[in-house]
Amino acid sequence: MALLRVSSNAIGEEVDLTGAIGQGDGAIPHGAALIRFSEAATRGSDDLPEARNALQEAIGLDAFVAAAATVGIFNGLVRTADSIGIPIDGGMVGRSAEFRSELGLNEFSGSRNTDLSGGSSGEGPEGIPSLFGD
Amino acid sequence: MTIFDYSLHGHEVPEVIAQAHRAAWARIAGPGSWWTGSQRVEVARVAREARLQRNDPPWLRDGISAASECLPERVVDMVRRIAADVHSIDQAWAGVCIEELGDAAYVEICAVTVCITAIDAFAEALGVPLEELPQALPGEPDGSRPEGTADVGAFVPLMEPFAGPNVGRALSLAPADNAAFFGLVGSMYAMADFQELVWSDRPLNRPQVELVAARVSAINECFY
Repeated sequence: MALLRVSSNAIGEEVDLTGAIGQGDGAIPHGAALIRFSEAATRGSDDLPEARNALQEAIGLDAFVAAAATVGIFNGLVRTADSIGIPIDGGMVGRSAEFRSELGLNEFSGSRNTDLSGGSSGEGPEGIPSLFGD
Repeated sequence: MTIFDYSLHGHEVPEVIAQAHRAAWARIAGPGSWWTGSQRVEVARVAREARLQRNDPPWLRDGISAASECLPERVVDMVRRIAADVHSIDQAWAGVCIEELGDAAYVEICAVTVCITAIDAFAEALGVPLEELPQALPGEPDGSRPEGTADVGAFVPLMEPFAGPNVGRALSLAPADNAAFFGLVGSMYAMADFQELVWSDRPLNRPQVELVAARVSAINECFY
């Protein structure tokens, strides 16, 4: 969620984070088709074939494959995070407090793994760390 | 026959993704530190089966696929929960599993489950058949457990110190499986360019990718 916001800001756009909870199109190009596809693929719903076709027509085949890859790997990453019970990263508790509250993310089951009582100052590292920590 | 040949189904999938999928398949098939190749392939089978039934209520799934000849019942329950009901996992449940299996053995099961889930979810999203599961390789688990881990507030110890995000070290008690999983992450999402906010040479720009990521995470009720 935080990466969605900061990457949008980096290209001079203001994302609508409610897209992440299935409302609207996120104010992102082809956002509605991307959200529809992400939902259908993740849920395995009957809408998936049509959602695939709609997305392919909207963004082309290469971008469709990239979207499918993102769906796939994030279905792995969320299971990694929640099966291991990792807390959200240092500094993010405060920096995400506002949008977490607005979007209802604190109600997600995975919030049990993070102490949300502190960190309201918004302090924390500004940059994005390496995935490998180097 | 080459496995993960997505061109057979009319898709031009970057070779780096297919290679990472093949590497993960090979890793699943071999013995790990705590589980044999046969057990790991069975974990993959159970994870696949559970995920395909994720829209059915759990009480309907029970009669269909609980049996597994080479895995303890606890492991079957674990795999099915991670694959199909990950939002239901809490510290108490994980604690029972870890107490029974050991922390590194628990993490190895998690790692195999998330690898096959990522690969299968990609195939399903793409609209291609799921790859046939690999043949288990012979060999015994070596019982190795990495040094340099500490309690950082997760269910199990993680590599410490570590300067990156916690997800990058979540599977650190199963280093070879963690490497296979991050091979998938690097090919399907980002690796060297993870720290770059602007992706100008990709078919999707970064906000588009992050929108998909955020929606998938929210559907799974992932707080991280």
